[in-house]
Amino acid sequence: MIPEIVTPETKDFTTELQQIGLVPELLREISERILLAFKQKTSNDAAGADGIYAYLAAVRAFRDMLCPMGWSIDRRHNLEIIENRNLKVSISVSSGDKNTGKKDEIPKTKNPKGEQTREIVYQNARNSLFYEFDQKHTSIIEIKPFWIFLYHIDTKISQMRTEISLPLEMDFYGTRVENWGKRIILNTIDFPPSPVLSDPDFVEEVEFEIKRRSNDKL
Amino acid sequence: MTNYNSFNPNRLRFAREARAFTIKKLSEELHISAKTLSIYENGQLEPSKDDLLNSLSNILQFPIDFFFMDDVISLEKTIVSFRSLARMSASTRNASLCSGRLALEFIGWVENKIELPPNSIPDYRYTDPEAAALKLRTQWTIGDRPIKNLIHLLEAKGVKVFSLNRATFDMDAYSFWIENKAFIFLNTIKSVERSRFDTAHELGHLVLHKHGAPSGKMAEIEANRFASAFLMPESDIRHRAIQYISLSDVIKLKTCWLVSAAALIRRLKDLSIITEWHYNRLNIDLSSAGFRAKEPDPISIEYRERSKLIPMIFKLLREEGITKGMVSNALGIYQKDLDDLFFNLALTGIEGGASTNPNDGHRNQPNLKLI
Repeated sequence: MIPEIVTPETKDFTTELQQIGLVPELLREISERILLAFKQKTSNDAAGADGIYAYLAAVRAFRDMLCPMGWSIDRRHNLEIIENRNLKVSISVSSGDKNTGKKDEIPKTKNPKGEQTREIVYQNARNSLFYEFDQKHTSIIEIKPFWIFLYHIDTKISQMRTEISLPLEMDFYGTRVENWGKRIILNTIDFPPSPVLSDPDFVEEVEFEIKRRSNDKL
Repeated sequence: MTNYNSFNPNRLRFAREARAFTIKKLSEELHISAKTLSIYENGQLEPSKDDLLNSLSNILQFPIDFFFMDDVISLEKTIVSFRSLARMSASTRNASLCSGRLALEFIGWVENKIELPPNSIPDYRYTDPEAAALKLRTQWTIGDRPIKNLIHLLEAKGVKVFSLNRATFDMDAYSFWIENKAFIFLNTIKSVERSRFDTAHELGHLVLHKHGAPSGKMAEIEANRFASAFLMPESDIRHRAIQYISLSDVIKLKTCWLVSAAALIRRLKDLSIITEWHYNRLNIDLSSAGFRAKEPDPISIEYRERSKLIPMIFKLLREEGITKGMVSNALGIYQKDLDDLFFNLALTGIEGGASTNPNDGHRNQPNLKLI
């Protein structure tokens, strides 16, 4: 199955996001918070700390930004979720591989996932089938899509790419999401690699003189 | 000015306030009643007994001669830019004003003999602080480059910089204008970065609030905005700083302007280079790392800004055979009080010509006279 791709250039980009209760500006702010957390890593941190900081910031940013708008927190074992009960939409967050945010590639989630992710992928796949069935037979079946916010920070080119996508298939081993029903790709964030740290060009020392008031001895 | 060959009650009051004594406390130390001490301070009677004069000299640590000299130059608290005036005790404020008055005496004495750099501090009242900082940099032709030694720059422009009275080091700094001369008093035990910001803050007061208005909290906000813009010009910040800056980047970058991490973070927010959320995030990171109490990657105290003017003055005097001790004698004070004005601002090892022992309170005629 080839995923349906929505990009910022797509005519209905904003509408697509609005249907799941989101707006581009809000997702931009969330992305920036994730990026800042990723960059928080210092030389004293453990390897991989940047990824952990980013994940923690992603979970928190979604909740900080969406809970005041009526979303609520859900947690299924280790899967952190935020859901909108009115819209019947749930979202979790995950780092994605290098294909994240690229419309001509199909991304995978970066790290191995567990039982709960397999369950939501299965649920989405089932919903997708019922949706097709429902369209044909107009029966009343509740559809509750489960989206994943995927983010990838590419430090080599100083770029962050994100998308909010509907997971539909796990890979052969059942550990990574490898296909999607719909992918809403967001604007990339280009960030300068590091501050300009050339030696400061200080103002020259201002010279001044003092002198005796007269030729008389002081 | 009245010529005093007799005991000067104003000097008694000065000495008491300089040492932050209340009338009650000093009278107890002198074993006299508070009323008697008030009578002496009001000039209704003068202490006639030598042992009382000796006690005054010993307790207040001023030579006996000090009490028989002309009035110390006055300094009204209303012309001084004190931060947190409401939270400051009267004794702290008065002790600070007294060291300011001693500095005025010293500069007055020096200026009778030596031509110091003239005042080049403009009056930018009613100018937006950011614009005033830019305008001053333009006037001084220093562009948008970082300033390595702010005290040297200010001294070249005619500002006289001294150290706060050591008893009042819970204060930050203060400044004032008097007879078109600008004075700044700094807390010279603070971190180098904070001390530089204080210097720029007081420059802001001198430039923006020459005649007092506005005052209070608004004046402090304006002086902070000026200091921030003066030390970290917008164009230079925008050239070097980045949008998604981390705390470790801030710590590296602050060395370009020799400012604290907190000051740079604030500047980035004021210039909208970082969002309000990002600003809060960086401040939380700063606090949780303990960097509010202890500056990260601090400038070594070896690089603390020192006065250039004060050593130049004493060098010129020394060439004429005048030692620092002779200067303190002329001012009627112990050398320690003179040293305190330069504490951490200039080397104070130039001795000679006067008693450095505060307990040696014999009345001597100063061997130099004010001209």
